[in-house]
Amino acid sequence: MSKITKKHFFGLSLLKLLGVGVLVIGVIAGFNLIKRTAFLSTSALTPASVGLVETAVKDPVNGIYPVDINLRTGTSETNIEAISTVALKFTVSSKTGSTISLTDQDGNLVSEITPGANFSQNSDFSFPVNKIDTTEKNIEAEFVSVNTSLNGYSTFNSERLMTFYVKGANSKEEIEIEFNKDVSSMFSKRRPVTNIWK
Amino acid sequence: MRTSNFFRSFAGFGTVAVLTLGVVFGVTLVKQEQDIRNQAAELKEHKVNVCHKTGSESNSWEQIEISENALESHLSHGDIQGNCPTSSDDKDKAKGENKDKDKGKGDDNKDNGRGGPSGGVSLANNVTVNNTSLAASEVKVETKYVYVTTAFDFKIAFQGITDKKPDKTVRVIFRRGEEELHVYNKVEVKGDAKGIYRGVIADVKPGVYEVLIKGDGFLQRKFENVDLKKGKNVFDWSKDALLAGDFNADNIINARDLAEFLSFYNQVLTPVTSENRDFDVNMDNQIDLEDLKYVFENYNSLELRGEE
Repeated sequence: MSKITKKHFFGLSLLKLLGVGVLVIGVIAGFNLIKRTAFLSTSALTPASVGLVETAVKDPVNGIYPVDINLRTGTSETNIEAISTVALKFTVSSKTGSTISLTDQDGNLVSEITPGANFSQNSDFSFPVNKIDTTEKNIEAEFVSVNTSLNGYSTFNSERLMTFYVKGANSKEEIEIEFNKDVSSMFSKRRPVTNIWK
Repeated sequence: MRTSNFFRSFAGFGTVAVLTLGVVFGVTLVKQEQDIRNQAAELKEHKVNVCHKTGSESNSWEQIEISENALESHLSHGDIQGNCPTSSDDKDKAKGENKDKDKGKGDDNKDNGRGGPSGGVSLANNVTVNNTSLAASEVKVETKYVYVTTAFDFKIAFQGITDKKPDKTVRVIFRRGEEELHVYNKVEVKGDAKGIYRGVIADVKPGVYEVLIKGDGFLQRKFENVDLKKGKNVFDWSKDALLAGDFNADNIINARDLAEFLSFYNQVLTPVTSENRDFDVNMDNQIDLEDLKYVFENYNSLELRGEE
């Protein structure tokens, strides 16, 4: 058995120490890189098309049909995206060509759409664009809802964004609502800003 | 003893393997990160038009598109920011002006738009005129320089800025009909105590233009029938402030611009960085709802377009 000299022993210890040091640094660097890569990948990910806007034409009251437009920004607690803006451009028309108009629930003509209570009573929401243009056969509406909170807005339950009333239709089925998807959008709060309503 | 040596060797081998794996893994991660950064950089990269000095006698200028990052180096080599003028038109007019031999005496305007003598000018300044009146065997190419000493001195205002703030840059386009004759992508403008900004572009070719001015984060304004004559031309357009809100530079304010703003608004007073500077509309060094207020003043239809 060879005798281990002091010098040899010192050299071995230094080598081990160096090895452990390299390992520790390697592990720390590895974790750091994993974390950064994960962060960058998340940032680069386009959020899934989890946003949805739905319309519901309700039964008439005194010949006036209430129409709800609802939205959600996710399908579940885990599949959800916070948003900052919703922009909608849509046309309301009659399938049979009868003359229709947008009114309040009493049948008076209106020039604006009424936002849903959960939105209008929430001070984080603003509605900078809210207008109705009536042409001979169609009604065109533009509506933008902006959430100015620091974290944005999210819901996986369908929430009523607005209600308007259609007068002059003969049945629920006659009322047609078509969104102009070229300019309608639901933008994510986080970067990169993404339209999550495809 | 043998068993001990075996384990020692095994441990050593294991350590080397772990280290190797670690290195390979690390390199892969660094590569992945670099790829993501490269993709992001490509998306960010802005292109600018440059009139490139080729050094060739037959074709001394060439229109090219370069990355904005490479602009400084191109300008330092004598390239000119903006479009090359249409050669026939310029040459014809330049020949006429050659008689004047106006070399700009008395014109004391500095070019702040990287478009002046130091950074390149409209090519009307340096037009090569070939003298072909001699017999074919004696043809000599005589180079003359035509100096056009027009200074375009303008004042503009930006919505939300009412006092002294740091200098800004704007894009200035001189257009006639559909043709953009001169494009200056980064003209420096300096603000005064009332928030009125002044810029000067030297040596724009005289003529009547439509002038389009656009600032980062603001909609473009168009000024028609701008008649530039030799000498100093002063225009005060500060009454029509450039409207705030075009954060993605497409000359339209729409929901995406608001969303871009709000994506940076994550603290009540978000500090300004180089990445989010354009969102600080009133230049008070923080991004807050005060800035958004100006955008809301303008934004009353789904798409608000700048003047074109």
